Amino acid sequence: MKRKHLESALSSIQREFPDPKITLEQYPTSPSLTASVILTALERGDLGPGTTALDLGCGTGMLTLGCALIETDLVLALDCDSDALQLAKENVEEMELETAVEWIHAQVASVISSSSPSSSTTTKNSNKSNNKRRFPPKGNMIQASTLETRQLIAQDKDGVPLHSRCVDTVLTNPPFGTKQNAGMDLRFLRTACRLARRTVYSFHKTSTRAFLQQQVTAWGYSFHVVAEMQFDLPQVYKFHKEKSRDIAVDLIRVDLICMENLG
Amino acid sequence: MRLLTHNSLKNNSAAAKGKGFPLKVTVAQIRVDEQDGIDDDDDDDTKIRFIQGILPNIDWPALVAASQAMGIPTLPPTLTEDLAENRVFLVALYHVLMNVHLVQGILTCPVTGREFVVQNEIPNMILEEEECEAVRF
Repeated sequence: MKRKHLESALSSIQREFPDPKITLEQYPTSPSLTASVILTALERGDLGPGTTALDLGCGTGMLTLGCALIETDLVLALDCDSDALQLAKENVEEMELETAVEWIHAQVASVISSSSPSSSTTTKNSNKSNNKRRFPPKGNMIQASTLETRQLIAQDKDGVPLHSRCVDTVLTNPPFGTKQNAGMDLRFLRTACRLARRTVYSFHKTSTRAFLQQQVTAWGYSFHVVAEMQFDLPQVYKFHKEKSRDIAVDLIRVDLICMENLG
Repeated sequence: MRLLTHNSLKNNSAAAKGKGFPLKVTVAQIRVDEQDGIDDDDDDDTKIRFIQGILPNIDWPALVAASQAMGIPTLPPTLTEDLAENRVFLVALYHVLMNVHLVQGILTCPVTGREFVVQNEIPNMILEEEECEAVRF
């Protein structure tokens, strides 16, 4: 599908949140940005006919609609806000597309973000503890935390009610994590990596790139910045002083298929 | 909610300890899309390719139980190799997985009995904070 057609179709829906909720960082992904992600993914065979996808935190459904417009076989759309979900559903239904879209009202859960217990002190105390985990030799602490994170990913402790690896590709424009929501972008990314079989496309502040790269690589996946862009965050909330704020954002692609063998 | 989606849905609360699947389906209202005429080979080919792609990931007993609850008693208890290669069967399976929608109903966790409401075809799987496990990451 030509970019122009895609953008035009995406522009035609009611994408503004009628009553945006501050704590959820709600704002619509722009038609142009959506088209960029969708067409990039299509080009790489990550979306489109013969694939299934999930829009994690779908909001008013821009990424969902993008997937549907390029005839992805099945699109799951998940959001914690029933108002947004309802609007997204209406948007997609109005388009009368053939693509199957499924809506799920669910939430990426809050998780305590603290340093991993697999530190050097725990290694020394392992004989005393009841802990059945075998700690690796002192020299391999990085490996221990990767395994643990992998276990966390596999054990699906993120509140999302779906089996791991239930779709080919996960797309997400996560909350960036301001104030009470700090770390939410990483949680979304981690959850996305659990739910996808093949790839994850996600947006993150460029300022967090190095940190995210380190995390994703430690999980054994490949991390690639597809594009750098400027998000023009509109004055969504009345208390924002500026009319809009430009922040540098990366579109990243995580490849889940070439996983390092931890052996 | 389609049967295909139900096959991936589970109760991920801490209390379920990873065993909150499959969710028991209680129907209040369903909606069935009209089956296309089975004469259109192209359509059939697309459906068959799709089903063949997802079949390895389908939990068959869960599907049989849920489809029975949704008023479709006709799926065989086991999926044999022969069936998995039978075009007519695969097209019929597409219909079961993709064209039958739970509009209104309840999904119940087999371990904890926790109920999730489905309304307007959307399952509400929001867990309370207490139900989620606090995880160190």
